[in-house]
Amino acid sequence: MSWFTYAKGQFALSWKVFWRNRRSTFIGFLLPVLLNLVIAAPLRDKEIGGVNAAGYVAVGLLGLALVTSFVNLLGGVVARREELVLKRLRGTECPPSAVFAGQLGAGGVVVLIQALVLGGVAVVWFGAPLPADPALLLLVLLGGYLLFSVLAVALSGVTPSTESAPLVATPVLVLCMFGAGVFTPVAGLPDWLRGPSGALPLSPVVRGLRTAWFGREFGAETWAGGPLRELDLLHGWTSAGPSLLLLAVWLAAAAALSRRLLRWEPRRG
Amino acid sequence: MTPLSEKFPAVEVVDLRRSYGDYEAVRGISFSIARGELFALLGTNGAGKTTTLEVLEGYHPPTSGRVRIFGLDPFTAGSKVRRRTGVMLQEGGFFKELTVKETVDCWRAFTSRARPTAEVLAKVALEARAGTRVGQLSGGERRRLDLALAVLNEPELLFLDEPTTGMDPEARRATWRLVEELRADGTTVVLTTHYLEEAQQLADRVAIMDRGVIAAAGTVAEVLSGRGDLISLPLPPGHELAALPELLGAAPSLADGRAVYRVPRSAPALAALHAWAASRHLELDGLEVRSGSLEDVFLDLADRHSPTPTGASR
Repeated sequence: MSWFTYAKGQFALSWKVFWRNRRSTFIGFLLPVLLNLVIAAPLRDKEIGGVNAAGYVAVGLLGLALVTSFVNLLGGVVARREELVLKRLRGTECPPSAVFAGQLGAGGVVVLIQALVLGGVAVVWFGAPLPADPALLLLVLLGGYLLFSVLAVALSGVTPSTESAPLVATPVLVLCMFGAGVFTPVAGLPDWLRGPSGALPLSPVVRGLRTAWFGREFGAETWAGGPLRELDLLHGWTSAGPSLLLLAVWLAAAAALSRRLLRWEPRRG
Repeated sequence: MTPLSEKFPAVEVVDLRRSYGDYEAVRGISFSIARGELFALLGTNGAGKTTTLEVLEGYHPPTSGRVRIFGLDPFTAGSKVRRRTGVMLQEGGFFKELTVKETVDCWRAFTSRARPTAEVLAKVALEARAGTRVGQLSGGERRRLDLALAVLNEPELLFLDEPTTGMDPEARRATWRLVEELRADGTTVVLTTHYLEEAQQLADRVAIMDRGVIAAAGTVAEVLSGRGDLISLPLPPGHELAALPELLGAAPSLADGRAVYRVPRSAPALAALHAWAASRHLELDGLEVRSGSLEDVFLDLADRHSPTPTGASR
């Protein structure tokens, strides 16, 4: 069997377990979609930075979907470890990398489906335009997903039990939800909060997603401000450059952390 | 399987040591297991059985010493070795959300040469539970599902860590039958167990571990040889232990209100005992004779350092 066959087998396993578990289906899939209906939909008639405000928030929620998948993956990895499922999987011929590739892959496909749902609703119902730069959009989405899924694997190592997983995940979720400009522009935050907020792992993702979707230079938008500068494809990438760089730094840090922290078995009692 | 790999034994362990922090769980053991053999590792909790097994299974590297499975290092050549081995952990988790059949189906997707699901479920007598969620299985049924996954790839070498713990007697006998079938097909089996009759019934060779070392090893007959037979009787009315005779030079000891003799041969000892009783007009009610068992060997070891330390089963 090839590595790909093993990973495919692990993907199928994780996929089935994801949809079978009510908790993961709710947090990992339904939450961003519900928030979209509750928070984005009422903004259909507003504008921000020259774009449809409901679409603006919907794309932000697509960023947030990465964090809910993080919450879900963190809980999943910890539960697998504590219930000795990881130990069992490690006793099979399946290479360890394929075990995680399958689990992360299944979460990634869930995010892609969410992108289609959130994006579809934004375009069809909210009247947002189609993505200006689909390639950049996919790159930021993929990079963001990798970052948050690897971060979940890393933080699983410092999460002692299934019960304590929410204690580790919730602060990350709340910080990203309110600090990274998902619902409302970062420029609306007090001065002293803007610096730390821009350094959050979700910030470059949300900004990059919006730049790619709407083809404008995001970052300085406010509810009261005028339309943002429009960008052609090339300038979209140069504008997203710093975001991509920050994303890469976070990803490298998360990868290094996960190598150090990942555990396959519960701590010996 | 190349002819080259055939020349290696299934398992080869040379001076294996394995520590966790300051604690040395395995302190220098060596043994080798031929292909087709059933080898049982016995010992009390904390003796180092599971640690030894987990090194053989490739979960941990040895702290020092050498371990080879079919001539390969199970820690560094994990995937290659595991294609040929099956592992039944002492405790391993399942996805509770999946049914028995779904679990096996999912496992087949990443197992080389996997048996058909129906066949493997029939082997462990779980066909009737195929549609049941794993979370709803009884402890014994979960053990059988464990076993099903361990034999899914028709392993050449099967590790069974306390396979029948938690099973009812019927399931235990069914498991023994399955293990014997696998052996008849040439599978090498490494077994740890608390049930000594299990080892006595199944094993070609046993090793008894005690505090990280092998205290006794060989065929069951070899380990038992020289242990003699046990004769026990309730103390006759009006007789103290000291009033009882020596039999073939063996003095009795007292255990649970009974006098116990360990003698090299039972017939002459019994004749002497009966002669002694007849001369005193005593009836020897409740007299018992049995040959030595692994349990005796085991209890002797445990006695050697009583009070028994309690340790985690690692």
